Amino acid sequence: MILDFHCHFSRSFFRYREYRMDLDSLIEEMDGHGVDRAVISSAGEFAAIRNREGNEEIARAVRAARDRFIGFATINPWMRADGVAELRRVREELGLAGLVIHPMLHGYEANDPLAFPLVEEAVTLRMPVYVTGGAPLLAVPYKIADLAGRYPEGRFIMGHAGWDFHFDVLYCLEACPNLWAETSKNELANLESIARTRGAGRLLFGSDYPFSSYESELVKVRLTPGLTAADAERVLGLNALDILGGPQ
Amino acid sequence: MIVDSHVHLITNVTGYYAYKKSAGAFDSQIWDAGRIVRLMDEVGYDRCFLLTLSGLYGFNDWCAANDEVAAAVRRYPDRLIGFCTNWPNQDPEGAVGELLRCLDLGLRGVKYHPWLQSFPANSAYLYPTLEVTSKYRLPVLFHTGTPPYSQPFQVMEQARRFQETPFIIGHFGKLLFLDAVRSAELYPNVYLETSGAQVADLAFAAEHMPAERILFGTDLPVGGAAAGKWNLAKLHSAPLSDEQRRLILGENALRLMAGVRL
Repeated sequence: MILDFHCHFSRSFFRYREYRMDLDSLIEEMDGHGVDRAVISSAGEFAAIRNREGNEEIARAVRAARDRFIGFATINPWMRADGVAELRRVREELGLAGLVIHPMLHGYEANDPLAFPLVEEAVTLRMPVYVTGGAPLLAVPYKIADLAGRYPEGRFIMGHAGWDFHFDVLYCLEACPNLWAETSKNELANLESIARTRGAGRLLFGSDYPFSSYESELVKVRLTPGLTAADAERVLGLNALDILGGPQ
Repeated sequence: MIVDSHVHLITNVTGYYAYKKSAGAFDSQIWDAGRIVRLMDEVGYDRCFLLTLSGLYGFNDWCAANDEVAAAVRRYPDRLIGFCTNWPNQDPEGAVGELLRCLDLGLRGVKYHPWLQSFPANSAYLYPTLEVTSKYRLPVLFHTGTPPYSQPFQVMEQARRFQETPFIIGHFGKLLFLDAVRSAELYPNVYLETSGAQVADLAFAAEHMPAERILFGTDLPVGGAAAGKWNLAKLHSAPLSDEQRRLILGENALRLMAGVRL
């Protein structure tokens, strides 16, 4: 069972360049690589500023293929009380399962009190919080760990396993038992360090599709030394099921 | 033809262990020339740019480190293209002397790791050695992607001043890929090396700069054969034409080295 914890879906968006996606092609891509399910969240301007539209599109995709997709909402904490209300809406009316926050895209530091009300609400609603990680100043692992440490009852995912800040990720995972590292974008050797020191239970496979490829991201996880076949199964999907609270 | 433009010879793990200790240092192993070539065989790479690792740590003897790369190249001249390093911030005059000595030993490029070596990539300390690389058209590969010392635009500043030197922005600028691509767009003597690039970064680069100046690289032996295969999968799945992929995988690197005038 392969569950991709970090996949994007918006039909047409700009992220450094123009992208067009459609649901059938995404499902075809997943099928082609044996990916059973994917956590999807919006991309480009829909992640940056048109959050509400983006979240609705994610909800539509989930409704269209409930057995394939799990929807996460992206919300800009600068919306303050409106953002908290949007989170309640996407949970109660749209059935989205988690929250993505993106300090780099939204221009705040991961441990800025600005985001606390939104994160608190996600924790109250029992929604996992994915924090896009690895951007210097705004989203370094230490700041994400600081955020996760404030809400021990929450579940936090450090996007891209902290990317290039591999010296710090191991401490963060040790200090925060409620924090997991998502594998996309990062180097194979860094994933090996996490697997060997913190265990395969702390890694979640993510593709970052369409910004990376299933081919490359799956090969990376499958070849990572230090992961047995059983470990790889956990990283590729079983850990994600635990975090998402079992099959939905 | 596959040429990996970023491979390290690891003859002494003292520095590497110090660097990696917090991350477990599981891959702190000796990789001598024989082991590097066997690794290349395993993943199907024909040739590589061989860079020192121990010479990038200030407490090691960097001249001895250059000797080791030269010895490796003498052992496998058809497989290894040797790069040297030097420490212009420690010894500005000695750096030029060491570079000239390395040319006599058969080394054909320079590697700087500004973060490990403790100078910003745009440092004036480098001017004397970059005069030499300009004279002989020797490629200079910089580690990049880790501010404040190793930013692509700092390398671009050197590329603007020394337009006869081919500069290679290592790791594709990592999270500063936008600046790496812009540097290559503005200066024809700037090349990008693909380790550290995401699939989407390669797609972006192919739309903004000539593929003729993108070089396949991996940072092997870090990650071993697994990383060698994964890097190929990454390039294979990027939205590039077969022609672009062929250039990037090897032809560009060979053309670059054919431009050296010695």
